[in-house]
Amino acid sequence: MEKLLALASAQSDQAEVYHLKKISSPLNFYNWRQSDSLTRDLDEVSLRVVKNGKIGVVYGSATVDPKWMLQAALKAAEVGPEVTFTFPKENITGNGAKICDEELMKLSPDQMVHDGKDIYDYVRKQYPDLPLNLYFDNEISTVTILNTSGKAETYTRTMYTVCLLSMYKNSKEGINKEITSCKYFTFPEKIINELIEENRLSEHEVKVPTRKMPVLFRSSSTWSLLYRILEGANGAQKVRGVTPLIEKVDTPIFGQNVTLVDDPTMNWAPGSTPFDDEGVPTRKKMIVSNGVFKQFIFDLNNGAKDGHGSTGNGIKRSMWTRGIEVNPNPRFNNLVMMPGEKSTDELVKMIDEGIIVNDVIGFHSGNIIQGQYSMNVGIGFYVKKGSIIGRAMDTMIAGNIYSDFHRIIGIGNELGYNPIAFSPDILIDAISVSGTAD
Amino acid sequence: MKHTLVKHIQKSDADFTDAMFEETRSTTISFNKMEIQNVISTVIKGGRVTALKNGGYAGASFTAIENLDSAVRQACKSAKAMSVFDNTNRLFPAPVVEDDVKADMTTDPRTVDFDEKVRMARDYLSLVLSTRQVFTAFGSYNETDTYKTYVNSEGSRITQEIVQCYFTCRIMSKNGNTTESLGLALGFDSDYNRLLNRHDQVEKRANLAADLLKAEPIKPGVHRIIADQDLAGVFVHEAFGHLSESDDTVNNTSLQQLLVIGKPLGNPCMNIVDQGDYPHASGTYVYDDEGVRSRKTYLVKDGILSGRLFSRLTAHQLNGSLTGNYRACDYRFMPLVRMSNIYIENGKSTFDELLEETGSGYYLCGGKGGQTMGDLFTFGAQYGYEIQNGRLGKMVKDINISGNVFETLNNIVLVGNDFKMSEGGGCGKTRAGLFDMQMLDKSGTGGPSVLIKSVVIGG
Repeated sequence: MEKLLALASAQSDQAEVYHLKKISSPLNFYNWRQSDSLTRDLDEVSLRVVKNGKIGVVYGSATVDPKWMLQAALKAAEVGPEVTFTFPKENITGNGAKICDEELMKLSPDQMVHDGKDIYDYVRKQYPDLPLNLYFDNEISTVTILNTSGKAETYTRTMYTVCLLSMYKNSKEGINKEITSCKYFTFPEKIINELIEENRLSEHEVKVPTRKMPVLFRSSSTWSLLYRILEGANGAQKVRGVTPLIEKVDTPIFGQNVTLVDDPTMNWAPGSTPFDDEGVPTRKKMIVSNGVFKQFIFDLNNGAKDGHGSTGNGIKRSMWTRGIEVNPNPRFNNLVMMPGEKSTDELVKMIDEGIIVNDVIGFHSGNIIQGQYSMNVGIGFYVKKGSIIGRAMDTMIAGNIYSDFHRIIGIGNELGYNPIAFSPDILIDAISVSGTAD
Repeated sequence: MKHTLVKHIQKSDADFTDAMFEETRSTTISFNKMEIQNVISTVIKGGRVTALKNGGYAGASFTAIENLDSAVRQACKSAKAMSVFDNTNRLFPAPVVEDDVKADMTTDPRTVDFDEKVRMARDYLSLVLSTRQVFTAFGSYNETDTYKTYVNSEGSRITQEIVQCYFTCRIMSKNGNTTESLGLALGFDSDYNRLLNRHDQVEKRANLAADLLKAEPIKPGVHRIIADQDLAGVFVHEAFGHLSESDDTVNNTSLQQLLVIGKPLGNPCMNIVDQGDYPHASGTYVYDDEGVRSRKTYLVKDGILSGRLFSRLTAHQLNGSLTGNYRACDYRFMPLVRMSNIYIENGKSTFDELLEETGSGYYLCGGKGGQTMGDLFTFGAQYGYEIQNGRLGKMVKDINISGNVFETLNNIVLVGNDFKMSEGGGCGKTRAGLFDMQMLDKSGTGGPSVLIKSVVIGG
């Protein structure tokens, strides 16, 4: 990779090599019986060059001829967009977050097969006919960033995911429980019990009336709401002039009980890294403090356009993809919504009539950037007088986070990790719910 | 490459071994208004070996061809290890194939000058940006070519070239504080000519983006609707097509009972087809990722459930047949059973007959996202129009439809005669959680306009 950088620096004004080596071993169990596994050994590289103030990008396998890569990048830079940023210089020793687990480094696939069997054995005793898929992945990534400003840094991160997907009758989908951590874990019995309990509660299907009522978003579903703030606080959307938060820095956008922090310093958290995918050191920052919007997040390019520079949030990831082919764009490292004091049971007891939402379908509906949502309740429960009556069928919820997050009446005391954030359960009053009961 | 792959899989001690290697080159030119925002080139090379040993099934993917040997060993070792848990995997017999497939087109996008592509894109962008109330637009030209080599221990030796190019654009309109956006998609085909002389359609989309500003939110409730060709295609893909993918049906007895072949699923006017060899559509290919030729499969024939989509593994498990639908988004993933081009076959009714039969309701156009959960589906429509007394009226927006797929299929009472394959495509599938999502660009949908007599519309 040093060779590629040396080649590039001779023919450009600035250059950066991003090198990703990834070994992973996704293992699937389908419904008790069937299984498959894949061992991945990937070696990929991305080259960015700046020449005459314009940038060119090329991605590829590390086996691609470096000369070809450079020529492709230079050709792209001839017509590429103008950029004003400089690749970051300072080498850092990291923010101290632990992200590489020795145990995962040597974890054998046999252990994962064994852990899978254990989960099945546990569930079999309590709910033998529950259709259940399991997914395991142990991923070891080594990221190296070299650039012509003099940066040459590497980190290795382990990431372990275990996912349980139970399926409803007549369906190939159902309740999903998923944990990702940079540290090895055995899947907690408490969460398996929750999966089983929720399946039992789902056996009774109920219709929900159409009216405004409190909705308890379990931490597994809050990402669908928080995705709106990811877009709203995204510096690229500020530069484009399309986010409603442009004039809102240091003004309240949510109720006082909402605090959101972007925290790349959390130990074993999936988004913790010493530097982002452009080599900029990551740091902990307040996004929303007691309801007041504090700042946008930026990558190098948008940060330079905005004038405030990168916030260490240039990340090669989009909603559905993560990998070498994604251009760095502003994303949270680890978005964390600060927990409150209520247990899930206490939150449920607060509901006179309302619904619990475990999972939504159609999170992308509605004008996302304006904060709107209109979603089907995929997995949810109807609650009356503090007790779960049954599974809420054919129910839709709609609203706008910029008004709804003023009406949060209860926040859970435990954080769950969902695809974009660490979040507690959130109980919001007076959400528009439409159902099919008269 | 064929020779190298064959040489190495011959060393395998598995009961069945196959190997593929692919080289994918892709160029994307993205535009912010008229300016080039980025030019991104990608060359991804890599391969995958899969093996069956004692009924266990596993794979190994690799980047450098030098690692092919260790990938073969790894796949065999993993397959053996997996057989401890699951020793039931067998392959449905398939013909041994030797073939070299070239991409088929009039104008090969790879021969078109870079500047010419930029000119084409800017031509459309300037048309879009000159439309009243359109304040910005983000365009993108992409071309991708993949050269795949596939061999297996039964003797199949296949090379396949797949080329696709497209132009897409997100059109943003604004009036005071209200913004709206609408997408445009052209091409998704091997032929560059499909992108040329499309000004009428581009102008129409830009005007629609502006019209959306005046559109009123649709009234939630249960309505009669006409779904246009694009929306009908999205419906049949999202709501029904995914249930036809047999890998999710294996071992799931309730789903198998729900989807028994021969079960009436709709009115006799309904025919639903998956067709990987549909000429020049976005999900078209000749061989799937286990060397099985693509073909036309009736999923619903005359309103009766008549087929589903298989891999060789699932065809064995479910007494199915070969359909050529085992596909991975690239060498980094294990293949899954995926739709190719799914569509509702053309019917007999004219659009006027659909309108008249609707009486009052909505005409809804274009799909927008979409998600299913078993037999429940939900997705948006991009825009629509009121229908009153069989006539089109005011434009509406903020449209979400949801329902039960089987009820909705039954509620399709008339099928139009204006069949069209959609341009555009793309489909995500994962079998567990959101973690290992495979996004597939090459996935096509289509259909005629259809009348659905009852659909739940949310705001």
